[in-house]
Amino acid sequence: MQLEVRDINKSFGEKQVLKDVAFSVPGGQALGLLGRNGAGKTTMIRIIMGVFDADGGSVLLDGKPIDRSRVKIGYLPEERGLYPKKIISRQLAYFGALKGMTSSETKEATEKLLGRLEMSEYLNKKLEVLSKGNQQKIQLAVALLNDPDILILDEPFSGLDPVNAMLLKDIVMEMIEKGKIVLFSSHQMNYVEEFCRDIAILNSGGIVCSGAIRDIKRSYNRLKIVLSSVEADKVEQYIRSGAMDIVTAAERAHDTVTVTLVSADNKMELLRRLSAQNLNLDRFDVYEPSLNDIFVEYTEDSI
Amino acid sequence: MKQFKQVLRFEFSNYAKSKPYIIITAILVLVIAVLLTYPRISALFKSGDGGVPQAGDERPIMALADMAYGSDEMLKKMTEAFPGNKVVTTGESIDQLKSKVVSGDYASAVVIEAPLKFTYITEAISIYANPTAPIMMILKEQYQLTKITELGLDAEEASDVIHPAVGMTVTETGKSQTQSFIYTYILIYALYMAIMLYGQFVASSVATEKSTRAMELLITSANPMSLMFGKIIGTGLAGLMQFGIIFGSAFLFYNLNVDLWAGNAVIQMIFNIPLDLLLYVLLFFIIGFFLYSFVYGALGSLASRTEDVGAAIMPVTFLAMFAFFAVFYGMNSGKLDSPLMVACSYIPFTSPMAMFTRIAMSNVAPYEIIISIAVAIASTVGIGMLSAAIYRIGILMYGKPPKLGVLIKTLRKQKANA
Repeated sequence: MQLEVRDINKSFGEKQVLKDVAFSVPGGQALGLLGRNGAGKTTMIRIIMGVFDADGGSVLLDGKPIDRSRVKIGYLPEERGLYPKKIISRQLAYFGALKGMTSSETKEATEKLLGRLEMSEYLNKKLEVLSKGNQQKIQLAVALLNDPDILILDEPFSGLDPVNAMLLKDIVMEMIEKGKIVLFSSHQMNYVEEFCRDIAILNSGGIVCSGAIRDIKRSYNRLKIVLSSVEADKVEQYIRSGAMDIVTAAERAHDTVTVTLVSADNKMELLRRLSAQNLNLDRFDVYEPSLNDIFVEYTEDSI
Repeated sequence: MKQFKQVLRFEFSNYAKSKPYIIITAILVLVIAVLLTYPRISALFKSGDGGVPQAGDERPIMALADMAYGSDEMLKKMTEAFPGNKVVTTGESIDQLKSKVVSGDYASAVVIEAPLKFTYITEAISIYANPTAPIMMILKEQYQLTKITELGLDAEEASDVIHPAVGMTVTETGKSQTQSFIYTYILIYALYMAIMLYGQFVASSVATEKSTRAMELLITSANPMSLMFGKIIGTGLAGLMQFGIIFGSAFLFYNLNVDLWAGNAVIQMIFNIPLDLLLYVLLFFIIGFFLYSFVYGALGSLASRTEDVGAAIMPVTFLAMFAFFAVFYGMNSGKLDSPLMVACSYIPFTSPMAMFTRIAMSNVAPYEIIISIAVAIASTVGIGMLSAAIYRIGILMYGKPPKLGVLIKTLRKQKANA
């Protein structure tokens, strides 16, 4: 099973919200759909869900236009909320029925999910008596109720304490292992790196970076070198006086000096010069960019 | 269709199983039951003391001290004039009678001091009662009789002079407005209340789903058409059921106590509604309710918070008020076929009330009824479609409600894309 978004365009009035957006997610994988607030992520998700029609482009499942009446989609929206004054079991029964489940299927799934989410005791309570985090878990239960083929999670970890975040992480990992397609939108890059092999970064409605996180990191410019030394002050001093022909910037924080090279080819030359100075180096590493660095680099132009 | 049924069932049970709905319905049924059974209930609690009840006759006692005529004729006339009282003659003085009224031995007392002078004693006179008027009438009549008799006529001839028999035949070529006014008013008012109450419930319910963000999940679980129509029809059925229970219980308790109300013309008029009118009111209730509810649903979808609902639905609330007051004016003036009422009979937002009133209280040609119903049904369908389109846009719009121009533009674009 593979979800493919092909050249999606969408405008609201004069404003073009999505421009030729394309990505794909195979079954058993999670794609991180990233972007700053207002980048078009929710609109993209709503198009996949069929809430909005795209002005152009298509959403395909296994190469054919997606038939939402046949494929089961679970969605955890960024904006949390259900019916505060209604009993939880009744809300789940309602959503189960809307998703086409029989009452016995819904009952069975409800018991299983609430047990898994450690929420069984709240089955016959009103939603409003639950904490924010627990309300979020009920929403997750709604999203997972019909054992969806495609799971779309929009900021699922916001508002969760570390224990509940761990629980949610386990559940999402189980879904991935079960071969489900997971689309994951979050600003918490650590979670994205944990779940997702691939990412697609949206900026001003267009995809500015996509692919496997590992490949993106590898292709990231490798001009930064991290040096650790007990003589960090001397290292910095030397670089500023004797290596500025191959270095554009140097910053020191405690025992670490981060250096930006003019060219990646200058790496060995810098190491040679530092060795020649008999400076005591504990570490000489090419800086590994975090997903956060990549995200900021690709989206900061729209700040 | 399945989703629509699920939404309908959910919305219907939301109201029908809610405590306020059950309590209000039960209280209203209880009030109706008590009111319509009141004569029977009050009879059970009446005792045999005080100025009111006595063994064998539970009516309040009115003492009559006739110092002017002293005849049985005066007692007879007073008894006829005050059927709710047991009139007894007495020779007690005004002070004694006052004491007995204060103590409750007598409910009231009439002292006829001279042929044209009397004193009426009672604890308090209700603003709705005028007990001295019949006494004045009796004394005037008795005075005239006495004077005419003195002129040589016998009592019967004198009575014929005072009360000459007038032959009268009233022929109403149309429907009797007197007969139909009360029940028409009650039914129109019920329709108006249903529109206002349940229409606002629909609008608030949509806005609540938006403000609690439940809509985010709903919209991805069901299509907007099912959501809107399921909500409106579910709410409408709950409203219809509530009104059915209230009116049904009124008819039930009336029929259980029909013997007690045989002499009450107003109650007789209220409950003697022709069956065809009940069918018309049901039809116009359904059309009117859904017509307004579709608009309420669409306007509710434009409000982001429940606090904004009032402002969003204000135009349609004024429209419903205009319809009610225009029809009420027509009913009160008796001009049911005036240009205003005729025009209102064909305008979709006023026709359910106006045409029903004209059918109930006037003579309306069948073709007029058919045209009015056809226009109303077509408009309801059209407005339903338009409302669904607005609802689809509105439910995902947050913040300031969109301006009409923006809304029309978006609707056009949506139509072009479809």
